[in-house]
Amino acid sequence: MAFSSLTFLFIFLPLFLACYFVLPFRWWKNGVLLVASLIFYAWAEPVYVFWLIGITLLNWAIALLVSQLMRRGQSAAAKWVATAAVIGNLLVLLSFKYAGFIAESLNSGFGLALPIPASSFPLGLSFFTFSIISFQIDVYQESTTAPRNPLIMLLHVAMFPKLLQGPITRYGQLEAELAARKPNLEDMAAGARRFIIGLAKKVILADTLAKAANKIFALWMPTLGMDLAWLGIFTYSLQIYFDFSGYTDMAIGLGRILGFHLPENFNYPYISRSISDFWRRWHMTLTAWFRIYIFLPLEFARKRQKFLRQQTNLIIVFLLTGLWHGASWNYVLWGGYFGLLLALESGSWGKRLKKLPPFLQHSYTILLLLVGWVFFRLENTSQWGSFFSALLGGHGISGPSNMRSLNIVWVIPVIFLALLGSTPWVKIISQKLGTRSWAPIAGNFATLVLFLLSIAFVLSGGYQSFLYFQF
Amino acid sequence: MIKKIADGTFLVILFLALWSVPIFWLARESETFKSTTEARYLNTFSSVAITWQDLKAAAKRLLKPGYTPTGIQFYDRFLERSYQKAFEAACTDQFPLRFELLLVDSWVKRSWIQLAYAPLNDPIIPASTNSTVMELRNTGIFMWQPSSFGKELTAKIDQRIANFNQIIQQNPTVNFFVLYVEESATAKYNPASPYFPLADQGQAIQYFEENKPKDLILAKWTMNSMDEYKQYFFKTDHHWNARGSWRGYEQIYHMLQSRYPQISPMLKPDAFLPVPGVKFCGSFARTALAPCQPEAFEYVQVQLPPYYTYVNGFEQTVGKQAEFLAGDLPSEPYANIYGDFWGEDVGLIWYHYDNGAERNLLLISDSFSNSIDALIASHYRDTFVIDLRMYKDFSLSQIIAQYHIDDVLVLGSQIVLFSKEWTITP
Repeated sequence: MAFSSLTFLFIFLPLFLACYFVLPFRWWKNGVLLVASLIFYAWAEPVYVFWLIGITLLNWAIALLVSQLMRRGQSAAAKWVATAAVIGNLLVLLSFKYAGFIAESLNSGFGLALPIPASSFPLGLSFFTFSIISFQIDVYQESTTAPRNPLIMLLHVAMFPKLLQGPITRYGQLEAELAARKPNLEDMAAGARRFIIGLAKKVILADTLAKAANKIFALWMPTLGMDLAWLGIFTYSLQIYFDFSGYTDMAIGLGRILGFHLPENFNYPYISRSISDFWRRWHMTLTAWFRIYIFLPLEFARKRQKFLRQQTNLIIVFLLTGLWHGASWNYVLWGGYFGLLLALESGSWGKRLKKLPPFLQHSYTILLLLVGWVFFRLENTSQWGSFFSALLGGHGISGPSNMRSLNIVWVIPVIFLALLGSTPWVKIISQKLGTRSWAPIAGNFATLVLFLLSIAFVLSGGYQSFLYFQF
Repeated sequence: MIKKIADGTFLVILFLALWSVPIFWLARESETFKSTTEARYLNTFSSVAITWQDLKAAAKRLLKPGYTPTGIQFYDRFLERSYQKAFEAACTDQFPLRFELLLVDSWVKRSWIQLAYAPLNDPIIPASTNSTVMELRNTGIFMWQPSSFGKELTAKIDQRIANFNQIIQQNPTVNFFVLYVEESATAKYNPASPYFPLADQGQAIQYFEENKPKDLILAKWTMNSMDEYKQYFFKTDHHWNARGSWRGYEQIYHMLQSRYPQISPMLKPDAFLPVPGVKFCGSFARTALAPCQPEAFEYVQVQLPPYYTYVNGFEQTVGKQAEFLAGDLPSEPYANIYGDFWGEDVGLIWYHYDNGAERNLLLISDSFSNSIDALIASHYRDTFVIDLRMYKDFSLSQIIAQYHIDDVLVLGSQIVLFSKEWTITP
């Protein structure tokens, strides 16, 4: 069930919170959280929930074995077992999510006739597989220890606030709180506020922006004028930010209510002044994962190579990042595009960029991001040429009448609202006002009103699946 | 200290709000309720109730792979996730203060529209963010966004012309008539037309008229100005009002008369009367959930010979005219007064008059004919009114043979006349 669904908000959540906070003991709370998380997942994946339990417990058992081998000084054997576990998990991810893509690519590239398996994989597969892989590696590197209780491992992986769309967490980040946590009033209130703000970002902003963006992208490409094309990609870039960051806010908010401090995933990415800066602010837990488990090991493994080592490693990492997002060439090329830009910025171009006025740095970044989102949004790469032609005016101007025909003129004030929301200005203003004596009351009242408004939006059209559910 | 109190109060209120909804659901009796505003039965929790038998059957399926009970089980619905969708639908439809919250949502979205159009000179703006309903600024008058005319539409019209050609050729003894009712979407006077370069403005019906089969008798019910639109159409509904529909009846009569010389004299209206107590906010206002200045809902008082009606084969009255005139009115805001009063769209209505007429009529139409079916039918012995959207497996030749049809009348706007869904299967 999605966080913005009425089933979650008004049946699952109140029942769960009542049980969770009534029980006094930490282990009972963990038990309730685990059972609730499995019910949460089973609601969306009635079959794959057993697979999730099985794969997690299997990995736990392997990690325990690796720990024992390391304690006995059998580090070589431990390395083999850990490596096999990581490869095994990757193979599972590959077979579920990428088998069809691989078969299609081989068929079209080499003229083969391989059967194409149907694409059906558990929700949140990429997220929790990465969580499990990082656990295996951390246990082998002894930066964390496998818990004695398998249910703790299962709880870490299946915890419903972060199960479906992250943030991607390492076991060590939550180990202490899994064992002992005591949410205080401030945590719970802050968590609830964060959750409601995330809900509003999703259902009020993201879903609304999606309506306009989808109408533009549904147009037959050769008829798309320059103005509509730019409006479309601009709207989409805001949509995807508010969709994903809204979900993350809800996840972090829920976690905080329960006493967990989940890592941040976004830090106002659209105020970035370079692509490097952007990727330090966008989906931070994913980039952290790739940095720790792919980039740094690659840097170490190829340390003898001096020429363009870092640059090629960046490209490799971002090709994989793109592939992680989807089993389709547009995602791979999207990742490769950013890898190339990061490679350029890691050299002299990055130094020259920093000398430019901030306005130019920011414009450069936004322009490149918008181009990148074209690759991300249009899965059909054959449409890219036509869309970029539209962006450059190759199909002329659509004119305001087209916006009227599509009934999307109303998106303009929403875009302004979204632009404001994508900057730290709201936070700065609320922090300045926060010192007033009436601020806590006013802030909480405004949050409750926002909650009611969000529910009104949910009621008006059902709900849209979160974009990142497919990953 | 203030912060702690504020935070504590905030959490209590939020927790109570979260719990109030399921308590409301538990306390409320689950009854099937047909929303006249939305013209559908609202989803209820009774449709997703799980019994102990369901859970036992599910457990058996899990533990005994060979166990396959008959019928669609909760287990199957849960696995294919249709149960979860139905549950969420029930949560949505049964939400407390649902309609009030929908109005809040509508108000916010209309504010966005007002803000976006504030610097523009458009005399007419969208009434909502997700429909093609528009509202003349500060008048409370709604109309359709102009529809487009282009190659795609002419191709569709060509297909319908071919369809008419085919059915006319296959039924040489039957007369075919069309009354085209011009809605605001295709009207020249639509104030939005200057802002929509591809606006139809009557081009589609002109194309149809120039290319139609010569044996097809066409009459066009059109308007020339906004004043006529205000006179003959509802302000808040997409249908013509009593005066507009009467004008349509008169045009139909003259058209039928050309091939039906012995047709009984044209009816004369006694009066146009408002239905007492009705505050009509029609389909446009309902679609946009827009604030509505209710208007009167008129009907034509006219003397008709006695007749019988059969709806989908069962004898019953069409519409709730008697109930409405007796004061039994729906209480829902934006209730579908037009549909309730004149009758809902159904597959087949059969009018039988013992009036000495010897001819039978097949009337193919949407809701536009609901207000004048009985009037037109009064000139025939049997009239069969068919809504192709609701009639399964329609075959014109079968209907003509079965009901001894002499005249076929197609009545409606560009949708009935040009869209594929209204193709008349020979």
